[in-house]
Amino acid sequence: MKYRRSQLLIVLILIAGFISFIYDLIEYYSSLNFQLLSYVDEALALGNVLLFYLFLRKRPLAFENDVYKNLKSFIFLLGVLYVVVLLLRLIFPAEFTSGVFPQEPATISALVYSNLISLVVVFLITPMLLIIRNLVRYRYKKRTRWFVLFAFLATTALILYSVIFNKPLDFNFSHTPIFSFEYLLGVVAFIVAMLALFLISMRNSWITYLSRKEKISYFFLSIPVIWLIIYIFDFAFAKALPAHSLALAVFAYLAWLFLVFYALMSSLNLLIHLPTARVFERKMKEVASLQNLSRAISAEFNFDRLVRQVTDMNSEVLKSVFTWLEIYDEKTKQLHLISSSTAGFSKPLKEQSPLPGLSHKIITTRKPQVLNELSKEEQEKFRLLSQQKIASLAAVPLLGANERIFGILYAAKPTAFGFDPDDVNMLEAFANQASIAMENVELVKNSLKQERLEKELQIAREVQLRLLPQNPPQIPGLDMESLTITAYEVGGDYHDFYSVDETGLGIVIGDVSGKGTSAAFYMAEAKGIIQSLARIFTSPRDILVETNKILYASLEKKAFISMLSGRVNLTTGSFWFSRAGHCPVIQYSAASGSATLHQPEGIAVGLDSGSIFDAKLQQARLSLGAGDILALYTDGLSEARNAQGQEFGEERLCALLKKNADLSASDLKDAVIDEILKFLDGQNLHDDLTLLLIKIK
Amino acid sequence: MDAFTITQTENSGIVTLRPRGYLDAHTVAQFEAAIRKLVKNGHYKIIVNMKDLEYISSAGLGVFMGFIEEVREQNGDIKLSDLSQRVYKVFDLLGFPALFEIYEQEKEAQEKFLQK
Repeated sequence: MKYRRSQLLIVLILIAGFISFIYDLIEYYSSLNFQLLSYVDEALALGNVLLFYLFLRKRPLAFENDVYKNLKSFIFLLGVLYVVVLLLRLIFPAEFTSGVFPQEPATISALVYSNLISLVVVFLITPMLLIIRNLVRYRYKKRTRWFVLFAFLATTALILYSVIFNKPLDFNFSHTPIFSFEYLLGVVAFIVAMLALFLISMRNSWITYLSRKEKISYFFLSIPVIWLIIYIFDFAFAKALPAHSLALAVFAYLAWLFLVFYALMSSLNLLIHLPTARVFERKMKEVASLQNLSRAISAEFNFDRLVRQVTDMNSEVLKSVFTWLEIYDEKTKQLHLISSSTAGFSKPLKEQSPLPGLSHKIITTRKPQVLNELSKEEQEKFRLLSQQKIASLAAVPLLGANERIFGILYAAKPTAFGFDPDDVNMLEAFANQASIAMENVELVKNSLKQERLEKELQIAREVQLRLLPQNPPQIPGLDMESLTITAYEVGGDYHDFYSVDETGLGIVIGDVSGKGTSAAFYMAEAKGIIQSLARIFTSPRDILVETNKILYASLEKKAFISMLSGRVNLTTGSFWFSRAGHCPVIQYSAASGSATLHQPEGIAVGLDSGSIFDAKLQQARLSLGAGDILALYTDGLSEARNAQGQEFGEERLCALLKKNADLSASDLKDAVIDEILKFLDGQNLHDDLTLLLIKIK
Repeated sequence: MDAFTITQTENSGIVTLRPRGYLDAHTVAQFEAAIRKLVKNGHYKIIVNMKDLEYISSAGLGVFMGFIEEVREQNGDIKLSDLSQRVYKVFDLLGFPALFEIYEQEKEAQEKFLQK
């Protein structure tokens, strides 16, 4: 369908051209002048331009963005124009009457020639204008549209002027009186057209983005092109076009002027851009490579690949023959060479910083340094290291947040004084990007680590909670409550009950040193050991002695467990217990109304293989009466700290017991919780807290 | 809360460490590194003067346990001095006085080392 439409357009153009030709022929032979018909003839000639525009409108030529392709087609069309016109001139020798305007073809050959030239204008000038439109559009500016509109309106006005008044556009004083209406219309329209076309010709920003090489070659090419464009009019259009159609002649004349303007302005612009071309080209490359780097950064979390990218890009943009990156280790205060690239290829180097003095200076001052001329020895060192001749080098620090220094980026050139301030700026820009990237990599790494730790903590907490009894066993004659508050980090508090019957029960409470997963697993181990030992031994001391023997072998050196094991015997009314480094037992005596701390000797489990442990460990016996309360706890309670750094302490607990001795164990527990919360006043617990309350009924 | 710091002095082959501030789960790595460095460099006669130590947690105590065996195998020791009441209470509760020599003054610990 589209194909047929374009075919139709071409056929229409040819028909119009033919009708126009017939009209010219009749006019030529009859020497008559039908005014109305001549307008139709003009309309047909101009209409052809429109038709061919419609034909070209949707073709790739009208949308080409590539500067090079546009220029190539333009020059091709220009060449074709010359060749065709030359051929036409050879085949149809043209002669025109002189003196009058418009010139009339003197021969039939001239008539054919002028008709064919008109078609050439339609077929070649129209696409040339479209190409210029593409170039103007390369970077559209706000007013371009208005300029085009003015140019169009002025062109229309000038066409009407020329056709109606039968005048050429040369505004010669000899032709018309100055202040006549037609003259003023023509001059004003002409000035507007010129101005608009001239302003449009300033729109050649495509030149800015050319590479330096392109700018040079295009400039030299522009000189013959300008000459060819200027010469077109006299060569081809001058007499032939007005003889055929005044409207088309005006169109061609203005189009020609525009092409001349545009070619001149472009050439001038190319010339102006030549001195800055080198700088501009570098800036373009810098921007592009910084962009590439930022893109790489957002996607690259592999540290090694990242530093490789930094050094490679740097050496490319700065034209450095040898670039390397040294990473600064904050702990050892040393620099390690981790990535280097020589022009063309890169290989990792595992050596120390080649210039320790310079590196040290950068680390201390945090400022870029430039060595304009390297000494002979230094040059030799680099020749061995990089297989390159290096005479000057620049180095900039990689600075992170909080004055942190990640490392140093170096670039080297084969000539002395190879780095200007711009190069150093560029190197700094690279270093900045690289530091951001490294910081990112580190953050991601840290957050992954953090996530893993969180997960570990969660597991430890779950293990701990599963190991602890949900509630104390129910025994007639005893009122028991347990309280466990876990800190954010698992602290390793542990308690358990064993050998429970109506005569009493065994109790164990402990605190594994350290925090986290290992604490949770030692706790699990201790629970298993005690549960099985309780089946063999009844004395709390024996249980702890055996537990120490087993656990000492399996605990890591710096880990230990404070533990307290006791047995409540209801038939004898006593509490037997041993304390292996654990917090004392508090006994509230209902008879005397006093609270006492009991701290028999004993060292924590896991500190000693047996001899000292066994020798130290004592067993104590407390007599229990009705209403007596035993409180067993961990240091999370006694050492709970408030914002002022004060500790909760045993005294506070003793006072609480005395004050609330009449309450049930459950109410007493609530009172303790209230007191602790009041004491902490919003502070967090830094350790687990366990409290066991045993009240004799 | 002031930052945890450790100062180190040496006197006739005996190294004294003076930790200052809170020795807990967060600062224990720093303390551990200080002792590890001493042991690695062959300093086995160590005094830890706890005059400026405000608090010690069970993790802090673990550090002593981690090195004591190795140090004693090399005929050295870790002796403790100038414990505040609060710090001593923690040591005492766990039974450390049975395992470590604890002196009221650093001088006594020095003399004890020199006697051998």
